[in-house]
Amino acid sequence: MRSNPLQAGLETGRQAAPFVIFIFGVTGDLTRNKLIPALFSLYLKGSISRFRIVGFARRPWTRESFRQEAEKMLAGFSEVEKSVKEHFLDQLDYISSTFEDEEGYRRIPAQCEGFPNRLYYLSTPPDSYEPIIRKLGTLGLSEEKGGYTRIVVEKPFGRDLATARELNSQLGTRFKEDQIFRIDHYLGKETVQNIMLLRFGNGMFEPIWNNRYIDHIQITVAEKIGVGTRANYYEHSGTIRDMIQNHVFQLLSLTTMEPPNDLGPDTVRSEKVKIIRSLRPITHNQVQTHTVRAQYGTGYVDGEEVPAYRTEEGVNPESRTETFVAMKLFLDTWRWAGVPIFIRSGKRLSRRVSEISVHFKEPPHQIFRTTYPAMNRNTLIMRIQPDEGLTVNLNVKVPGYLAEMRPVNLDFAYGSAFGDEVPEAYERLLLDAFIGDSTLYTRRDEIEASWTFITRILQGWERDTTPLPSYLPGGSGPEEAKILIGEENRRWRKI
Amino acid sequence: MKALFSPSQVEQELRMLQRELSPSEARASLFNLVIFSREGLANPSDKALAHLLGKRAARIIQIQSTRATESTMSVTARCFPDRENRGVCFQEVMIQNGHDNAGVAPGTWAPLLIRDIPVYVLWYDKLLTNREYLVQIRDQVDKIVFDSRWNESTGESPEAICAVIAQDFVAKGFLVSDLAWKRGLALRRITATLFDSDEGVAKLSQISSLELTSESESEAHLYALWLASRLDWHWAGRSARNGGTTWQAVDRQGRHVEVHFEQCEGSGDENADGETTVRMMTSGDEEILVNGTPGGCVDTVVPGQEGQRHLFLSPATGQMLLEEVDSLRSDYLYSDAVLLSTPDVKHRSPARDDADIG
Repeated sequence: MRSNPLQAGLETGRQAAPFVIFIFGVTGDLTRNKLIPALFSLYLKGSISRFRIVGFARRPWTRESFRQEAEKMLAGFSEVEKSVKEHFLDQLDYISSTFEDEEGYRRIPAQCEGFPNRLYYLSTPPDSYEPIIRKLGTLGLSEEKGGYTRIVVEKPFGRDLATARELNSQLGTRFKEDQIFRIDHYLGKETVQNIMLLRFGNGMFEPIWNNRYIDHIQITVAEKIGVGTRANYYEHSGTIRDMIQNHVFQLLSLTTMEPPNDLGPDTVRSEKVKIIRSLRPITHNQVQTHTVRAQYGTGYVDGEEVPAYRTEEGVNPESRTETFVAMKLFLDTWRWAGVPIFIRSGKRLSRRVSEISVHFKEPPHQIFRTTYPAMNRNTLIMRIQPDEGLTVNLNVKVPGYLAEMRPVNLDFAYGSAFGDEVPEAYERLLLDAFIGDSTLYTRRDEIEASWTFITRILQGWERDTTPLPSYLPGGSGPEEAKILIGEENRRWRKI
Repeated sequence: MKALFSPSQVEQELRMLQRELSPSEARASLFNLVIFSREGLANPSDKALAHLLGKRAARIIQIQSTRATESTMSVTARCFPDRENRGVCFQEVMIQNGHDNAGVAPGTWAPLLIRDIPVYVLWYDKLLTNREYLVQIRDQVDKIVFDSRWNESTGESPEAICAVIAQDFVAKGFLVSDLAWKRGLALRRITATLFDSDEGVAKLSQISSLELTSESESEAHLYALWLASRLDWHWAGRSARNGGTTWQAVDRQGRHVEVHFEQCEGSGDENADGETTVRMMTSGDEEILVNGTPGGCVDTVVPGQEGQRHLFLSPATGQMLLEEVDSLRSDYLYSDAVLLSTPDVKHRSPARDDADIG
């Protein structure tokens, strides 16, 4: 095609070519709370202009009823003119069908008329993935003809290595890897992306980002809430599947990966997968010394009495599902040799905190007296949420005649610079899928590498029949976690 | 000699005011914004600042030229809690410039700028009569933002504004941004998409005339200059024709292209360009139409293609200002367009605007 001179300089690279998106399981909460508002927001920003949104679900909705439902989903956009909303809603259509019925799928090509590109979004429970992927494949709907055909798959991507491989294999039989977008919404958060900006957009960090200067790293993803209404899901997942295998590992790889040569999807993801592969395996015998798992007991959070995990509605009273995990990890790389990385995640802790703290070594020779001997080490804290920002802990002189020092904080709050709202993670991720940028999506090898590591731990835990420790709600986790980090005179940061 | 103020006292007062309004914690200022305006000439700077409030902390210096004999100065602060309940504050210095011209003197306001953060000027005063002053303050500031649509309302001609901007700023590599140009981005994007196919690209070389209807002559002028610069037309400037304004251009084949502009009534809504219309005629007697409809959409008609409706909302002034204060880059398309209107001016690549422009 000849190049259009009028497009020169106008390409932002962030505008989607015309497409149809098919949302499987469109009647669910994800569509209501995230997908339709995100698509409308992209439309308002001009990032998508020619498109069709087709819902695909069992419920006997019609095109009209889908539009009426979608209109309710846009209630948060009350300031937008009615005509603008109507134009958006005009682009919606609906296919009422079960995921097994071929007839529903046969209506897909007609919906794509005039649109060369299509994207299938699986917003269904994981047990529906297989029939949908199979039908799309057998009916030739996964093929690319004159445009792209992509598929977005929501987590969980399996529950261990075998099931993850099975899902990847089903996808791989019908779609090429560059057609598959495995979404982990955590990566769509501005705050998570900012880790890369901080590390590689500033020249001052990389020279000291290694085992010569860093003593250890801590990664914390703490929640204040309990299992709530998710007991059915959580009983089969636990913290290790719900948080560690995906969100915590994303933070780990972004914090420790080598600088990518560019921001190309494969360049960044290749560096991330190298980190996961370099995790020193925790053998079955080491799970007791390198991992801690626990369940929250009964107690108080914010002054309110809360039940123990095993007495929550929907939870087996004999459950061995963990609500807290801490681990001591090592990366077998030149840069990180000998630097322990402590990760922890749990429910019903004292507050909701996600952060990465990098603890530097003490000066080789300390000539000053310190009033806070336990806090001699400089620490760099990347706060993901809440109050996203950066804190550097430095030692300064205490005023007076003595050469005494004490730590102070050098604080930067990201929101301080930019007080306005950041875009929803789904907005960014959907747009990336439309334009084919898979940098913030998870690649097959990354999924399998993380499950390889996690599955070994899961197997070790299965053999371990000792009772699970419990911890007090509203605290910082079980005593065992403090012992895990305290062995070498280190301590967790307060939550 | 009487001093208008003491900088250290101003700083102290600003700190106190901010502490009163945001006792827990306030965000650090990201930039300085110096706003020039003139008594009697209404402008949307207050509305634009309201859009920024709570989103960016800044030092704002407002300098208004008044009919008073002597210049005066006062300080104030406004804080708005962000989502983390921290104050995002404007530290504001209000200078009323009198006949003594002490208020506009760079020596008055420059010491009040916070060092080591960017300095933006938002200019809501005449451009042509203040040309020398603008050149003089270039050393103090990083970017000048103005709105030629607003200047048009004060009687300044779009062609004269382009010439001054091209000669004094763009050619010197100084960063300038015209909000009228930014407002036209949606229309430029929609226009560009009409020619994305091979047939579309072929039609570009057949454009024989252009009819533009818009609320603003300045925006129409910039749109025509954009089209001309992208299509490598020679710009011949304004020509006489009854009813409206006509500009002449010569395309790459040496054929004359007439651009006719007709002004339409404004809707009063700053981000709705409902009445904007672009009608392009080709040498093959085909008509390509971008037709604005009330309600924030445009319909496009291209021969041989299905008609389409596009969302068409111009950004509010506050939104454009927010984008400007987040960036120290210039749009090379704008530079190309204004330089085309002033062919005797040579462009010097700006040192601070090297890579990744646009």
